[in-house]
Amino acid sequence: MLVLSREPEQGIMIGEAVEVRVLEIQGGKVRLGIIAPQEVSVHRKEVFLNIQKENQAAAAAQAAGLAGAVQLLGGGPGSGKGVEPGEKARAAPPQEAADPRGGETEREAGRGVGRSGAKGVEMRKKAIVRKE
Amino acid sequence: MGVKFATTRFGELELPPERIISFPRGLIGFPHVLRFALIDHPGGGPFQWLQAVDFPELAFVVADPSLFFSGYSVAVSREELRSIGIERIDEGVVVVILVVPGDPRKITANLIGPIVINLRDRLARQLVLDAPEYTTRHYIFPQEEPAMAGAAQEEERSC
Repeated sequence: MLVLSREPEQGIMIGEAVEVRVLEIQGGKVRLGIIAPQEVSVHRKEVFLNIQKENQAAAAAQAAGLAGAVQLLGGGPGSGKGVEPGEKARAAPPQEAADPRGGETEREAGRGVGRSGAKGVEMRKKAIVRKE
Repeated sequence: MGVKFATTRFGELELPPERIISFPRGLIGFPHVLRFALIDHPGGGPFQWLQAVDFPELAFVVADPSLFFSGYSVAVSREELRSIGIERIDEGVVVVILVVPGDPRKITANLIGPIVINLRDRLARQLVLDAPEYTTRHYIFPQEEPAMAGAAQEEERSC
């Protein structure tokens, strides 16, 4: 691992297009600003790793569980019915505890993350219902 | 002429090319898997399979999140949408990946890593949301004893 010491306002370049800038150091937290081309994804590491792990778990879907879910929803072969619309499921609580993403340090640090101004055009929309 | 491919779950499939969806970046953790087909679950219900075209054994169960999570919303940057050829999230279709253990009540949905599909151009991408309220693991069915249920889930997943 390459180790560099940087002061606030200083940064590093990764290749020619990616810049990581130290914005602020305060109380054990470092705020970083990242400038990267839009094709480069920038994510908090632990969230990325969690999704990676979950995708791997999802690849091992069990037929019995899925058949059971169809039953629970009151459906059967050829039926898409039985779902109670608006049913609100809860997050699995232990995951919250096991999930380091909730760490204040990281979240605070993340506020400095910007991608060529991408954050300025965020949109928030409800997930839409498939029409097919 | 359709696209023919083998699958371990559905046997040999032949689909018209317009049913094949490209994931230019793959899925997170599967960067080499670039082509999927979206297939309705043969056993019914609101579930579908994202079946890898080039990897017969690789398939994921997905669902429309709005069926299970009424307030779910996806905040995404314009650049991310443009990377799959759309300008607005409602031009695409959002699905979430499910982890399906043997016990259906322990099925969870990954709400922080949804997939947005541009069906018109058959381009898709898994997003990483900047949304602390979501995790990779939300039960799709209400849990009676959340604390116990979570522990049980861990057991399920380890087998």
